[in-house]
Amino acid sequence: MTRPASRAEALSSTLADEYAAIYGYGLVAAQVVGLSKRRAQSAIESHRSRRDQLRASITASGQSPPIPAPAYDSSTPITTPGQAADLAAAMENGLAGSYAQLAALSANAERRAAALAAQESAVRASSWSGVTEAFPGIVDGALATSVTNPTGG
Amino acid sequence: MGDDAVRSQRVATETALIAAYDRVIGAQTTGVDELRTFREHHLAHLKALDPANDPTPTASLAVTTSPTPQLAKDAAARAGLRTLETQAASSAVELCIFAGDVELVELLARIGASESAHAALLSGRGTPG
Repeated sequence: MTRPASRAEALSSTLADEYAAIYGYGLVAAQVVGLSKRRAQSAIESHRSRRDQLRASITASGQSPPIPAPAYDSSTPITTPGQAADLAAAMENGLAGSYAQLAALSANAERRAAALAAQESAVRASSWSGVTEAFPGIVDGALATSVTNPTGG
Repeated sequence: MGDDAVRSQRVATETALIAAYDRVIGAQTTGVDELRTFREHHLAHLKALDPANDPTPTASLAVTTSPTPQLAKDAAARAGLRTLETQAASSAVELCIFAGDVELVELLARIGASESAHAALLSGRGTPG
């Protein structure tokens, strides 16, 4: 994951991460039960809402939002609750970083929303891992190494 | 508010948080490792904001005899830290609006994300399950 050079790039890359997270949470939800399943389902709804907000922002800028990839690959098989939690935490950490970058390249209400979205993702990441970092999402490629688009789109 | 003022305000917040953790860690009997980790995060925040800053640890609170059970005191201390972390995370969002330098904005956003997660973990909401 390279740092986006513009607001438009940041919006598109964050939207791509949201698409991947929605897909990835489908894998997560299939492996967990009880509270964790409800947490995964709630996260899917939150990410769908963020996705729609990002698409609306891109459209309002006169651009066409990117579409989801036809398929995604997980870097490791997700066959246990532990693997599912690790994937969820990695996806959320990656999104925290993406939103922090979007905050930097946007302004006013959009910057505020992005900074808050970074916080939401960091909180969700900690809910899956039980820990957090000094600078959530600072590892470039955290999302790319968890759920990737095999077509490169 | 310019970037220097934003940075100074945030340095003050991080310094106060480190002092708060120092006070609590000295009196805490449970969950100390987690609190030390969070304190280290704040130290990293401070160094990222101001590499020349080298805070001196404040004196820890002496453990005093009290009719209040220790576990209740621990819980109250964690609740106090949680409140400080929540306020700090909220403040980071506001400072993002005032900051001009993009790297400073991104740093503040990541710091706020860390502090928001600290607050969740201190409340128990971060417990996996």
